[in-house]
Amino acid sequence: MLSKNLIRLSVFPLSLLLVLSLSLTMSVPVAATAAEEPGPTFVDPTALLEQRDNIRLGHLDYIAPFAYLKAGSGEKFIHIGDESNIQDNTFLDASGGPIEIGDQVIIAHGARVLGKETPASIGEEGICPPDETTGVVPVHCPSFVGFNSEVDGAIIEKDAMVLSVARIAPGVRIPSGFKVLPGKEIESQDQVMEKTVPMVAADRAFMAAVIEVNVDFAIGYTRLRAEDPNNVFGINFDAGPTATDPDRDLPSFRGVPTRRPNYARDFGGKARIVGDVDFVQTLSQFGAVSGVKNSLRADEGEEWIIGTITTMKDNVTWHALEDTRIQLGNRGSYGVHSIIHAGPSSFGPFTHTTAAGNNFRLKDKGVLFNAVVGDNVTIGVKSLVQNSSLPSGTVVEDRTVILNDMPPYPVEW
Amino acid sequence: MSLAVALVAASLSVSCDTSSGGGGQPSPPPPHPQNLVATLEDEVRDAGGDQVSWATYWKLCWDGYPGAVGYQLQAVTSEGTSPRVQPHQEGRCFRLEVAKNTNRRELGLHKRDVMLALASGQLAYRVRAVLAGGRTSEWSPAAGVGETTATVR
Repeated sequence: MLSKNLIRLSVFPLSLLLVLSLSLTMSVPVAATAAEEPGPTFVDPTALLEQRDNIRLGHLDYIAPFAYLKAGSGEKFIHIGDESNIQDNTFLDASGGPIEIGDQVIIAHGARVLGKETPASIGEEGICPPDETTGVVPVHCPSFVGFNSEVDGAIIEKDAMVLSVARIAPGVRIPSGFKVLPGKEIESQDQVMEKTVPMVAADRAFMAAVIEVNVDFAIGYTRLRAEDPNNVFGINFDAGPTATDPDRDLPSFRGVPTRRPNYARDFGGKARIVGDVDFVQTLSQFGAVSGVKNSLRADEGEEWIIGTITTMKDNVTWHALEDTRIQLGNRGSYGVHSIIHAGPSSFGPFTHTTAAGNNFRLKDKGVLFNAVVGDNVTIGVKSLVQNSSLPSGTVVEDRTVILNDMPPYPVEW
Repeated sequence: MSLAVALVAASLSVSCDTSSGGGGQPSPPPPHPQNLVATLEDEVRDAGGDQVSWATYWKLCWDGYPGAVGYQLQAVTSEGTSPRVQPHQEGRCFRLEVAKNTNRRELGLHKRDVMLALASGQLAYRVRAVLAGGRTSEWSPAAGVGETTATVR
């Protein structure tokens, strides 16, 4: 790996890195961008922006594959500020009312934001925590909506988080300084304190880093497209080289590196597959079992090893980061809107893997996040398994949260 | 240090990594800081009445690095590694708040376990030494925020 990186770096001009550095400089802080040259926003070609004239994007946003932004007419708009990212297979539906997304907002994979008679607002209102060094309260700070969660006509203030598979009902406001626990449903304001915990410095560091990563993606994919517009379609290169990932890799099917810019178009929006993903099956075998709108993104991850797939339904998202990877056994089945996501390594060398054995079944809206499961494991509908190890034969019931191998608890909706 | 300076420094350090060492071979960076140890520290104070305010800090320390003029940290998240390199001049330890609450005294450190669990799944840090002339060591293995360990390599 190191030697490959060094070889590729040797042909990567330092001047481009410096340009990248300067581009990022323009993006931080957000307040500076208006007065300076704005950085690029990147919208993946598979993302669908409906009623586009009523959708306003900011600078340095990243709109990931198969994101669906559906505006209506008039007041049923979608506004997104600067340095925000709308991740894979998210759904922002303003047909029932406006959606306002502020600066530095993270809408994670599979999340849904619904405008209703009560507008959906994320990262627009509330207050930011004071800077630890200067004591100054900044105008902009991140906020977060997690995997397969839902913000339904609710307000998520700045410096607030909604964690995975949680739901916030219409009219509820999550105030600055609080995060909603995974799997919780908040149906009224009087439930907020019961189902949240205070934000801490680690949350803020996490969100700041995620923003930086996705600003890097906006720049990296914009550059990739500038080199060749076909680079950002279908089965293709990742966004490398970015500031942290010097590689630019292609997926391979049964050992054959594959670049098919037309894949999504020719097969009805079949899949967006980028980076170092190694399928045991051939491309035609994959195509025969795969639904549509599947986003398999090894943007920074090490080589993924993907065994045979029995079924892959629609809107599946897989994503891994630098120095981690995904490894899946044979005869896997992956439900609609299911998510497999690697996580940061936790001590030890950079070999941390999110893995499943043979006959793995991840049902609709199930999430496997930074976890390892054995053979013949089933994760139920809308269940979350995070930072855990499950032995072979485990069946996780529908609507269940398993966090850090702690006792399971139910998803409330 | 501004982000631009940090990134330029990172770029230059990458450039150094790839330069030839006279014989046509790249000169590898020196090894990373050793003996990373993570611990948790709790601080509890009286908040009046039957209430207590408490916070838990994750503390990552490492052995002093020969010739180091400082250290740098980098956040590793579930969405990728931040391109921002954070200067760290305050010795060989880094401390970060990972849980806090204010609750009735009888509840103890209420919801501490779940808050630590959430922290460890989303964020890790790695560290490297900065040497004279701006040269840097390799990055250490990442250490999961909220988790403790004995010694990492």
